[in-house]
Amino acid sequence: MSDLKLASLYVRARTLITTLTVISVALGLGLAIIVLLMSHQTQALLTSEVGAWDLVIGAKGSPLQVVLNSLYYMDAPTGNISVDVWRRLERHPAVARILPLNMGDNFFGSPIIGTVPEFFAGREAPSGKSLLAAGTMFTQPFEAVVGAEVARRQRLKLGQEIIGAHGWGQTDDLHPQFPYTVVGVLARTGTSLDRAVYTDYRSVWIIHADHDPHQHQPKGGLEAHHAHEHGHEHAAGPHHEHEEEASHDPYAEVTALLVALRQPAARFGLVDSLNRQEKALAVSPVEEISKLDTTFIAPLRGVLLIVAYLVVLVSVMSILISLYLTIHQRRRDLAILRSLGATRGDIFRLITLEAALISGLGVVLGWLFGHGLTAALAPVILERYGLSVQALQLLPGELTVGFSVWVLGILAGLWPAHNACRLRVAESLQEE
Amino acid sequence: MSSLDATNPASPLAAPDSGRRLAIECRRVLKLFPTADPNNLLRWYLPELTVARGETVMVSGPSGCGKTTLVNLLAGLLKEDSGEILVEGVRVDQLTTAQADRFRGDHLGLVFQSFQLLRPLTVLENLLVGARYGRRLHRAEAHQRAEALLEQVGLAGRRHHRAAQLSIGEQQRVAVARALINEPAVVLADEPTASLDARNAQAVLQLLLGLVARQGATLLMVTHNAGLAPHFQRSLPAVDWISAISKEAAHV
Repeated sequence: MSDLKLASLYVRARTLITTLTVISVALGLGLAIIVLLMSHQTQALLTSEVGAWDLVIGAKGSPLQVVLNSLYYMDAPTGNISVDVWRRLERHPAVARILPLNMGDNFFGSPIIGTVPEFFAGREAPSGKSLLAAGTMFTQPFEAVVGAEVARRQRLKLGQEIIGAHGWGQTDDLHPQFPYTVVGVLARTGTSLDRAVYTDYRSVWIIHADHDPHQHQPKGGLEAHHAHEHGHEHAAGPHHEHEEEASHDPYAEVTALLVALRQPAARFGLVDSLNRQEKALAVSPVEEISKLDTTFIAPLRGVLLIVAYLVVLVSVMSILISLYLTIHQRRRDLAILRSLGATRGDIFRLITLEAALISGLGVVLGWLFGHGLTAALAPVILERYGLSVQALQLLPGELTVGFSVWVLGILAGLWPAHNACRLRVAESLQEE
Repeated sequence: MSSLDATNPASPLAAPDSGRRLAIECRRVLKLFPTADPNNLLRWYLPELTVARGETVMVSGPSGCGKTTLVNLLAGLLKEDSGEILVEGVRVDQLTTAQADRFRGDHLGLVFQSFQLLRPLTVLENLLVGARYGRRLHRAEAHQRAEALLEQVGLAGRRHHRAAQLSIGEQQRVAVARALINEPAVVLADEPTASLDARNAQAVLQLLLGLVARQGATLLMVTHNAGLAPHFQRSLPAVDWISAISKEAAHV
């Protein structure tokens, strides 16, 4: 009979105390894994989106809100800005690429993003496959390309018509007269793309011109308006801080602009001049996300990890306590083993192996618990916070933490093992 | 207490045929035990004892006369304060704890009054543990021997039962089988029949004597039951081994 077999027989014989100790270790490690997974993936998601754009321009308000809204759809827009900002920047020599984002409607809570097909340029699914899992890109207003999560949740198929609703977040203010046709479905990316509906930016203009009875649609329809918007300045309404005009005209507004520059360093000058001259807010997403990480996410992650490691430490202590107590109860059995020829070293090895088995079981269960709970929570997190969490992702840090917990568990067995070696055999054999 | 000489064939504590090689030799063995009174000690003293190889010897005496102490000292489970103890020619009194453990596993088989089976383990596993810490037999050989012994003690059909599922007679048969799995040179039995009814006691005793004879081992059994003497080649009384002395006297 091997030492491992004997150790496992003794671990199994103490079903209740072993189960409780294993659960305790599993809870501690599971918590640590959840924190590691969430923080790693939050950071990965945040950094994945900021890389492509040097500037985000939105309505005046919180810079962080502009970034969170424009890149992650996590927060409501700060308002709209004049389309003229877009037109002027398009011609700016420092600007390599500029795209509009029009927001304000949703489809069962998923934001409907009005933009241009170039929005998807250079993006691909994580597997390296095409970003479009099915169908084609939208080419005209009221054609929609839906994110993978939206398609899954609403069971959308190509050719299906969907109705948007006015507002950010799920609302009942539907636009039944303006249905969208699903022409494409995106592959799952694990980013904010998964949970939005994309359409031509002009769809949003058309709907909102119709939605607000005080607004007008330009004579000559969309094409006429589209032509007209290039050449002239609009009237701004009371809620629209258009720099030159007094009436609110949705045809003259976009919610945000995403800007890539020829030279990233040019953003400093552009931010200054835009924020000074325009009634818009230009923000460097890298800086905002970095600030968010430094001031909020990193400290929070640190605190959560400390709590998780404390739980792990307490659970490792539970191995020590349970083994210590059971050794007291097992004096007679240990004395029998000695009477059969087991040396102190054999007993030490046996108890240490038991500690290794218990902490090993705890590590395996903790790993399953951490990933399982993350998988269970992923849909809730996605819905509430817009974070797409990949529950089955294996982080290098997890292996380190799991191995450390296992080793700590073994170390926790050393003291009970040492005590077990020192028992008086003849006396213990007399005990009943 | 009389002074006894192992070379004197007339001494009841000496092996009858001094020409045979000795399995057990004890000379002037002293063990002191603390008592509730800090000024006094309990003195266990054995002037001389020899047991020849292959001999079956019974040591009898009332409870508290120090019989178990003899077994523990011979097995290296207790350390004497002075004197010489040789088992199979090895100075057990000079072995380190680890050496004594190895020696016990390799050369001795122990049977106890309260069976001392490992409760979480099955009958077969109890025997395999004996093989594991004894001669450290290979898995296949250990299994073979364990199965054979279980056949011999009539418990082959209960190999996968746990100790708690066996009768006390069966438990002691398992303990006997475990003591013999390493084919020990010397079997030390401490009141192996005391917890059993007369029928089981007789069965276990016959089993123990039969297996010991088959393996050619030496048997030293301590018991309070002097009536078992006819089953052994020699019977010794454990008299006057224990006395109370003051601490000062012990130093002298």
